[in-house]
Amino acid sequence: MNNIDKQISKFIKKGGKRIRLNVFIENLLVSLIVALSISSMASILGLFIPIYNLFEICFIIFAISISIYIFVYLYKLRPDNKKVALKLDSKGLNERLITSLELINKDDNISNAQKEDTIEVIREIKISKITPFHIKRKNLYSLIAILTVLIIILCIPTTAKNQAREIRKMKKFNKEVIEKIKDEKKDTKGSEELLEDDKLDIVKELDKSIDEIKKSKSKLDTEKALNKLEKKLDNIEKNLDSVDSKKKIQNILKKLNLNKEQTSEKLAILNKIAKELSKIDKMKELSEAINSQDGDKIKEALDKLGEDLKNLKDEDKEEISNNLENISANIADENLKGALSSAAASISSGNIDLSKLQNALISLNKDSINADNGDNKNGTGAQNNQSGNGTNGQGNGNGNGIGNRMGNGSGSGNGSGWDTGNKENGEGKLNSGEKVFLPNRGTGADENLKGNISEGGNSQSITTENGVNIAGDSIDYEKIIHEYSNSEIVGLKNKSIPKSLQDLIKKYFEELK
Amino acid sequence: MEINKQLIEDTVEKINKCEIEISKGIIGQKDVIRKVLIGILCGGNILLEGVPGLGKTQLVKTISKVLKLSFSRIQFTPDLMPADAVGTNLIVKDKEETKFKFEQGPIFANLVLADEINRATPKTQSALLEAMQEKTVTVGRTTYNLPNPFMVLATQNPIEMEGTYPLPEAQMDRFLFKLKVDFPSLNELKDIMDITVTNNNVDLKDILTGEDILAMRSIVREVPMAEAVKEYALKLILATHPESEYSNDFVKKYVEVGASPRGAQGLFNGSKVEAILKGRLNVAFEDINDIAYAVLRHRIFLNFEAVSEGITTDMVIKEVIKSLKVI
Repeated sequence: MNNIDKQISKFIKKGGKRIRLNVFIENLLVSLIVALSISSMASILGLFIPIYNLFEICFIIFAISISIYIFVYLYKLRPDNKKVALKLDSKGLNERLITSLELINKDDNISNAQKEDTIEVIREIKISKITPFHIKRKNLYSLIAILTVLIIILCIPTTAKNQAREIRKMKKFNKEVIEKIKDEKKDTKGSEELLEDDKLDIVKELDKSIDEIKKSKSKLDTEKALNKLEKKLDNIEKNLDSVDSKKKIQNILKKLNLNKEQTSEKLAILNKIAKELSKIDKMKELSEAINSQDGDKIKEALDKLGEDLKNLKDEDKEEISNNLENISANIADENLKGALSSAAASISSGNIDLSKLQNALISLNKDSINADNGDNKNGTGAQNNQSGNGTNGQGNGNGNGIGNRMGNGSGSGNGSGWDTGNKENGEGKLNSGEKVFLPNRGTGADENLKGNISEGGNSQSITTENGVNIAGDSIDYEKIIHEYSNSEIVGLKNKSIPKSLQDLIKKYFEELK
Repeated sequence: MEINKQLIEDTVEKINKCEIEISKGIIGQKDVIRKVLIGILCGGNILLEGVPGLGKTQLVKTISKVLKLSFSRIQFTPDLMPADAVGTNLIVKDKEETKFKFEQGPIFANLVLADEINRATPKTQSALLEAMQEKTVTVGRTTYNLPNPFMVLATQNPIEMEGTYPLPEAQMDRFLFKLKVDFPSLNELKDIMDITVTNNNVDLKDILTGEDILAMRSIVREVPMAEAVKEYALKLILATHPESEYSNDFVKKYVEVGASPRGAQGLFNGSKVEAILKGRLNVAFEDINDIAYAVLRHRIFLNFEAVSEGITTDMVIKEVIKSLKVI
């Protein structure tokens, strides 16, 4: 390659960098527009259908689009030297470069004359002037517009999105649970305290549990599976002789106890709603009742509220209705959200009906208490005035509820009730939560239960009457600290403590909450 | 001959001088003059089409003077016979014997003006076919070479169609270019009047000889053409065919038959000269586009729909160029 050829090659190489960058950016914008458009479509679907992994889907769409684009760019769109030369020629070089490129390494007179002519022309040209960096405005505006639309779509709150959020939480919860079980499985396999047969039994149960959790369609199913596992492990523990082995199983049980999370979650919802209601004059009593976590008090407060509301003016009713709607909008629990909306609507219309709200609050309150006490395996919860025929239920008999439930009698702990049956007079309607029935508990007497225990997990029908209530040993920290803080703050007024010190103590307890 | 930039510059200068000299005798028609010169440098035959009185014949005569070439004019009429153009064998009585002697016709010249070519019968028109393509004439059993360079510059009138014989497609294809001679502008008309209606005579100088033209032809053939440009020229030809994948809807709708491979040869040769005349040593896309009208307008045959809608071949070429992607 002689000097002329080198000069021509250098010019093409220099121009090629700028042209290739322009082509890359231009097409990248197009691929981003495509990716955003597809993501927007997925997001629009997400407005109506619960898509729990929408963000992941959008990310995958982006990743795939960019990967495909890079692949296509490298193998198809990236301009080669000929295309670069043609592109540069189109800027007034009149195909001198492409001709010279083909004549490189040719040394005849006409070829040299042509190349010299090209050199003369390109000496006068600044590459930066003929190949400026540019972005097609149309593409840029399209990209911004689609991005805006996508953001707006992602910000629109819908029921499907809330459902998706719940599913997401459930999936996350399931994943964590499965991880824990797998850890325990690994631990069990390597355990020296357990006999091989016991290890096999435990591992078998753990595997079964993992399968069930994988198949579970709701958090409730997962909890059911966990309760079932707990029961099975309990049974295995009973058959063991060695103290170390028993300890090992108890360790497993302790590590797998995940109900706490659910309890605190529900408690948090109750606290939130109590706090919101305390801001409304007429609702303060109800707020305190919720804080007390006493189902009877809640019922009484709601009954009283119903009566009070009847005597209010329409404007006041409207205001309370609006406040309830606002609270409803900020509540994640779908059941309670619906109940609040329904109550708001009934207050606004004048036909005051707080039964749904009552049911939802009592149910949530009970769930939180039951689940909380479930740790202790001694329930204090009560389900009042409930009757109905449930199907495929799993229930805990430690309560005052009267009902027929069919299902696997292998539950453990006093969990929340689950009832798909019809309720009479609209009372005791449970929309969520499950009663886990636990035979062979030791603390409860099996005689109280009508029905057979199904060891094999087959469905059975059990009627419970006046279950045995035994107070729990431990109370959830969140609950007790809340009550304790409240009583201390109220009690401060009656104590002869300097005001500055009172503020300090008050602040301390507020922080504890 | 060593081809270098200087030689090419000298060639271009000579051609430009020719143009200036011809412009003295022919007012306006700059594009026609240039295309005729390009045609001559390509070694092709040219068909000039225009209404009577636009100086078609005068143009050819002027060119012959400037180029210092032997010139003959054949006025085509319906009773003109082939022998009248190409020549004939005559019986000549010598002292000892009587023998046939070939008497050359007016076609034996470097530059032949076939005036009003469409007035002659197809038989006489066809007599030119061999001369135009092979540069030879066959009379009886003998084939005679025509002088080199040899070019036919024919004229035809597009208006007076009565008593004319339109040129057959095969003969049309023999013409490298078909040039349209347009009516002069006001200023050009004034200048024409100054020359033709006064006693002012124009002295024309010889600029190029036959040898010069032949040398220039060999230089022109050496001009390099990039693959992309060649491909473009060929796609342009294919795009005139309605059945081709490169043709657009306009072509599919209005064209009956597209350009022949001779059209591609014309594009290649013509664009090379065009490039040289623009001071370039390579062919550009714009050279192909510039020459395309002259090369293709008589090689594209329109269908009845096009004729009835007043579509011209120039319109078709314009659409084809517009639809072809350069990069």
